Amino acid sequence: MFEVIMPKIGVLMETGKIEKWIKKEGDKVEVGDILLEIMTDKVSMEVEAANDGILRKILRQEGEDVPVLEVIAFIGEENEEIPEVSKSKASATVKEPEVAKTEKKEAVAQSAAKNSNPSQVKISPLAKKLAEEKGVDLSAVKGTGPGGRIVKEDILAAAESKTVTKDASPSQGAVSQLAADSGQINVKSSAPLKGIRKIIAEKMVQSKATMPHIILTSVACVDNLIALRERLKDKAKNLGADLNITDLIIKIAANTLREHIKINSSLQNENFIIYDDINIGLAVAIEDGLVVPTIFNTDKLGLLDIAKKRKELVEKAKQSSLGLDELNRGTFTISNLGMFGVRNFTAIINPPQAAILTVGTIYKQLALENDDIVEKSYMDFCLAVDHRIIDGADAAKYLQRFVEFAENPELLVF
Amino acid sequence: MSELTYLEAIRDGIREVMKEDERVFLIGEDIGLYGGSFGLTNGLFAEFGAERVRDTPISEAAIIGASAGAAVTGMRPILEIMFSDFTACGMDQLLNQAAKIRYMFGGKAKVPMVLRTASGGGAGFGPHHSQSWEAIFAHIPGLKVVMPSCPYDAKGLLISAVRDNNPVIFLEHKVLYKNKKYAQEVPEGIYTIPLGKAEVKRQGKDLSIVASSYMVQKSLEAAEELSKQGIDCEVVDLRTIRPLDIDTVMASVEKTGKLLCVEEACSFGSFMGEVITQVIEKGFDYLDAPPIRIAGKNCPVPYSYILEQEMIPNVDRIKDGILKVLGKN
Repeated sequence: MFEVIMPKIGVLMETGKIEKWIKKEGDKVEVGDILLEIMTDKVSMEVEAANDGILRKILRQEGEDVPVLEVIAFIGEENEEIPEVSKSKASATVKEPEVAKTEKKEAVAQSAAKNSNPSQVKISPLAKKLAEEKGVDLSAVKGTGPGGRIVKEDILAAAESKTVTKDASPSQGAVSQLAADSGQINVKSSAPLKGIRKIIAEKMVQSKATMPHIILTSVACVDNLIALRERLKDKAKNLGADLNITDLIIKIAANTLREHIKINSSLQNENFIIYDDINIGLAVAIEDGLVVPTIFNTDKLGLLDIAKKRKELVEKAKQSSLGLDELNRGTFTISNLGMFGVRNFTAIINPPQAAILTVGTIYKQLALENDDIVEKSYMDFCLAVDHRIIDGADAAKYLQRFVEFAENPELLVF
Repeated sequence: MSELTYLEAIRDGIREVMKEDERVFLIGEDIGLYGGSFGLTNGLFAEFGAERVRDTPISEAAIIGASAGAAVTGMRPILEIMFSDFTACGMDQLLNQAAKIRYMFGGKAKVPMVLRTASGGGAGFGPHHSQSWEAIFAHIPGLKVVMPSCPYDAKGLLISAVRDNNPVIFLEHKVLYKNKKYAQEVPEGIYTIPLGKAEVKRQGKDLSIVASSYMVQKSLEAAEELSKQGIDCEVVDLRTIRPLDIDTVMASVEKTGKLLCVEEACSFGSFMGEVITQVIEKGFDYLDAPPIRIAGKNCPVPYSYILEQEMIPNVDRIKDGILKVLGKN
């Protein structure tokens, strides 16, 4: 009997959500057949069979969040006995005893689920109806009824905690839902969050709820930056790169990080981690959300390579063809809304990173220079940092140096 | 108003309808001078005479057949079958004649008869004198089946049964008959309780218990005991099992989301199976737990008192059932 486990893709992956079982229990499978689709906190991907045989038993169902390396199914011969699920694999990777306890609970819940029809969540009809009415996501509800059945009380409790969240930060959806309840506003559509949208929602709430942000804004005169780009762009074109201002900003951000490496960090499990690698993620809007592909070792790349890589990643993002390895291991994020004419904006830090830099549009202002009134181009930059590990002065020093680079890009050659 | 036992209340009801309507007469074994084997008809022979309180040979087929014939020709017989088990001897007259006539004559013939009989166990009477056959009767279209749980209901239901134009099986519980514990204030004179109307005997919010006859009393006792643990049971007394007042049952289940059915009869193919089926068909979405039955074990009622107490649901078993539905054991 072969175990199918929740794969661990990327160092930071802790759990994966089972999106869809492509194969059903009893299906014959061969090595390389796609067994299921999973969703990590970044992308969805397919899991292939590593063994030939019959998919004998599915232990974890669609919609469940499963810790990495936990057994989710068995592949074996027709009459082979299905073993008891060992929790050793999962707990072996866990160091803290508290977490190990949670794992144990998971295993218990799992063996309870084993006894039931695997295609069903155990839920009373009343609870099911209430969940639909109140829009409660069942995958997040733990049943307290006999044999782990979800009963009325569980749904009411889940709905209540949901309302509390709503009240705390009423999102667009919550507002229109409330309005719909009181019958005052016509609702165009109302659909439960899913896929990448849901992941974004969860991550943003996690970030805002756990990370106290401080946000600083600086202004840079970018005349020199624009002039440099004008000088370089045709040459870059000949060398196969579309060099734009964003590429220069990425380069500046990376060089500044090298000098202020404390910003290139993360707080994980009470551990203040400063990364040596500088991997800048670029926020890219796509049709149904937002992805942040990573430019690895950004500080070690030249402008041409950054420009090429940036273009490649943005195109892949728009086509939804980014691989998981291109979305992982970012240490810092840049988000640019300048193309929409946005002067400046604040962003929410992309956990587990500790900082995000936002870039606004280029705008012109009159300035005094040698007693003359001259027109100059400016850009606003906002830096949000996790105040648990980075103080305002640290962030200010970073921004100060960043602006110095932006105003004097020739410094990049040092 | 005076405090009457279940048996006295039924006798009182019979006396009232006999006074009210001279078409009403009694027929059965040893019901006349002897006053019935449980003494229920005591005094009626003296009061109404041999013409209206008629003793018969030991032939249930004859009693039921004669009653059906009398009913069709305009009388309103109340017949007594000493033990409900003996109805078997007159089943053809009951199921194939009395129950069918009104339908087969397109409603032109009516069969206003009441078959009173002592049902249920717990009195140490053994397999032939202790059965609970309500499911058998209720299964047959054309019969109404009444199962009173207390003196007040018994009298009011008896009067309604006699006034009804259909054959009514009136199942009296022999353990309730003379038990002073269940004696009640019962109004004098005529009053009625409609057939096909259940009653909530105890209000509660945690769970609905549906029962009839003696099991209502046991369920109330179990509910009372568990109320000390903060468990709040509602007890619905069906009173009539056919017609079944499913609306009252549903209203209760909609309130509590949980259903326990209690019955004395053997569980296999039992009447409460019908109740649970209807609840699931009509109100699946109201259920927060699987409905269960606490019922008689699937065997003949044993003669041994100890075994009999095991076979028939008792208060402890009902309490276990309540906790099970609530997921507490």
